[in-house]
Amino acid sequence: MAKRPQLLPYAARPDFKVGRATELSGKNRAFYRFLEILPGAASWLSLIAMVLASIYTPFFAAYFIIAFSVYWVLKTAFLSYHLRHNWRRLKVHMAMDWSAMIERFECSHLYHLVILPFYNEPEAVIDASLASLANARYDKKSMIVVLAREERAGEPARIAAERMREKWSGTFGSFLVTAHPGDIEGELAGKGSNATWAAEEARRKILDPHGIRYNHTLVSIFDIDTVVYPDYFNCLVWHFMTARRPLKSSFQPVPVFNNNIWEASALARVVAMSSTFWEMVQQERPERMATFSSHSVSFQALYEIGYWQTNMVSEDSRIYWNLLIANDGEYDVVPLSYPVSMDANTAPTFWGTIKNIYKQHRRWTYGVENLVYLIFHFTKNKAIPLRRRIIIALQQFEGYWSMVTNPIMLIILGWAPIFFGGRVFHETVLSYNLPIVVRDLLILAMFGLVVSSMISLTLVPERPDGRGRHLWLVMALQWILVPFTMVVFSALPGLDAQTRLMFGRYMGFWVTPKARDREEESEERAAVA
Amino acid sequence: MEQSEYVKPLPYNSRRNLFAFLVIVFLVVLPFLYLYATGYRFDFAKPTNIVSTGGIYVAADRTGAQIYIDDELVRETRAFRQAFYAQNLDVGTHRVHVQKDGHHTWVKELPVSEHLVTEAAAFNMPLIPDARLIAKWDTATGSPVVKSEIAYPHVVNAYVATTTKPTAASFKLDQEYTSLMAHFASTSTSTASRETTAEYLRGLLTGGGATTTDEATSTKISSGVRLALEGDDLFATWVGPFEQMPYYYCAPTFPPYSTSTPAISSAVTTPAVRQDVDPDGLVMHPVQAVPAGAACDPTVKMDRKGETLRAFDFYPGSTDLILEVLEDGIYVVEIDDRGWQNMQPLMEGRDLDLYIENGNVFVYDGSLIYQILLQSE
Repeated sequence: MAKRPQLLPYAARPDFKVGRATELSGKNRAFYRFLEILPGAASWLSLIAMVLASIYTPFFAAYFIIAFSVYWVLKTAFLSYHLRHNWRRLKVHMAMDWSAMIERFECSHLYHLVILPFYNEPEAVIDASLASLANARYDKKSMIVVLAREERAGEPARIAAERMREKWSGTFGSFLVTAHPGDIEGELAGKGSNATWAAEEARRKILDPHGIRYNHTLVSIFDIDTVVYPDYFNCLVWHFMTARRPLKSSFQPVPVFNNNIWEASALARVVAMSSTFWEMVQQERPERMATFSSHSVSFQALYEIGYWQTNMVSEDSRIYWNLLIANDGEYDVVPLSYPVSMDANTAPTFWGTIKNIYKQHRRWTYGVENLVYLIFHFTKNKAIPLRRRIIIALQQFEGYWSMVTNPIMLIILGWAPIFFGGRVFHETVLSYNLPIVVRDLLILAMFGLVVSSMISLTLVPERPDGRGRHLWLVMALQWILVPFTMVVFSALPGLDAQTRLMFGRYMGFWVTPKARDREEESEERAAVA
Repeated sequence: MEQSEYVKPLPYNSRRNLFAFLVIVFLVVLPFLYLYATGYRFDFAKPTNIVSTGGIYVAADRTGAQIYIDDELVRETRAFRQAFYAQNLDVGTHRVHVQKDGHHTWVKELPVSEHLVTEAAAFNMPLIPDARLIAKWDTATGSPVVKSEIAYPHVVNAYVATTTKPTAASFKLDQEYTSLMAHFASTSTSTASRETTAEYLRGLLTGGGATTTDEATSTKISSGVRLALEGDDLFATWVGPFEQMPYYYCAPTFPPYSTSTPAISSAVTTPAVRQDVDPDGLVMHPVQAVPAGAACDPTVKMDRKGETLRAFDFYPGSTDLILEVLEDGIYVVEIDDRGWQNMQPLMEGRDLDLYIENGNVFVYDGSLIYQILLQSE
């Protein structure tokens, strides 16, 4: 392995970028394998325990379910409080003039390296993203745009990239098209390996030749459907300049999946908005945050750990754990509370949409591989304070466990004692009151959805021509689908992902199909944004 | 420009305080919810301020029926809402009645024990059920032919009354009538049971008791219930798994209803099962974990109004109801003998014969056959 002196000491460890147990040996391999089994086993055991308790100790199960339902209501209230606050912050941030905000800083030395990895997405999607960059209220000459294609995507991707270069290269300071080879040994085909290739290419071909300092370069790694709002880079710079440790921070915008919200089905909209809301909640508790999807980070921080991992799926969050661990815990996520628009997951057919959403969420929830990674390295990197390691590990574990088990326990297994509890339990008032109490508590929790519904309406772009006014009503009422989407698009794909990891059936990167009904509309939206 | 107050994320202290508040809410609310869910209610008139209550669950078989508990209307049944769960009931006996226009009223007195729910399944037979007439002769268009106008008022199919004796020259023979008459002829004679109880139970334990069987006219078995004639009396015995035993078998006795709802003994607890053993040493019921000292014979003697029981069968689709052919008619009788057994006439008349085929009830009055239309509304 080539010696890379720029790497932080911990990042130079051979196991720093471990992707799975099979890449290790000896005790480390066994321990990593144990950790891979742990999340799935915990989830399955919880669900099985719930069923067994319903059969053998139905009274205990009933009391537990009631307590769990109360917990759920209070958790909903707790999260709604965060969501509402972040929504207000988001609205204020969107209304603010960030270019005026950064006037007090000397930031002309900063460069923005925007990496846009893509595979086979339609040209209209790429074009809309580039158009939004071009419309950003920021000095475009300080922007370096890297359109990172995959060589294995073949000729169509190359042609699309060249067309984009022709159209946009004059707009930005630099415009680089990179082609990630498909045959690099040890790599898993995916966004991480493509982005890593693109970052290194940009360093070699642009930063170094132009003498651009790494600590003066902010990397924005965007999914290809990311449409930035006009003040994104101003907002980013303000947060960078005011951050406690700007070079040891990642900057996380709010991904609002509303590019194609008017074309998406109600199901796709609810799932997309739910993802947005979750990120909004996380923005208010940054100590539990990891980076997700499109975000920004200093080039130096990336360079010090050798960029993204190329051997795993959820590189968008993994990069944060890489940075946290390599920097001995001295690393932050700074929430921007400023949006970037992305595509809601949709397909031409209803079943296609369901399939796509399920697969996308399975990929997202496969982020449980990060839990394995961070616990493994928390046992190795003693420079991180023990308390912090324990708290982060428990928070992440609880997050992945509750995401999979809570909806199933509440919505499906909550009724198990009634069906499995047997005759003695069935004749009790408790048996009859259990569904009533749980139902009433869930209805109470549904009031949180009213907040969600109202907030979602404020994040929807202007209604395009040809879309009926009644869709506003549909968008308000669509939130009654949440109990269904929680189980089908959160718990089940999460359980699927954890089970795959548990059995060592490691997942590959699944590229979410992107589609735009109306290309011109996308361009207009980018222009409006 | 000054930074807006909302630019900063939610302060950690605010979040921590909210979290602490919600934890307190959780700890305060949960005990009350537990008490509520198990049937405790506040009653500041009582010295303890808290009383234990029970409930009644009544299921009706018809829409549009009215369910009363202690003479108070609690539910008018609709599609998908044909049952009612009454909670907060004092311990004691409560009168439940279910009524519907044009139907017989179902009435029962039921005990309510603390923290337990008493179940009941009401049934309301039409005062005169609809019937399809089946005669020996049909017209060319398929209408049954009768010798004179018939008295039964709820015949749903058109028929032809003739003053002359129908013959093959002018009408066609009804094949259904012929077929049914063959059954009525074969079931009109009682025969002794061809299989002993022990033999049946042996079959049950080896998995043979799940389907309806007709061992003989004196013994019928369906879905865990055995109907058996012993002398002149009919007995319904639960022979299925204990866990599936309907609530009314082994039900305790209780004092009659009164508006003061006197308290009954809290010893009224979950029905238990006796581990009966047949002469061959076979276990009659699956072994259950039951309260120590509990014993129960899951057998109910069926009411027959003191009349001679001419025939009997399960009411189609039900193991709670039985059809009894008595001297003055055919009756639907519930097995549930708590308080009393509700008995409602299906068809009145003397010397009626009953035959059930594929869930259809046929009654022969000595001349014509009526298919009684039982479908619930």
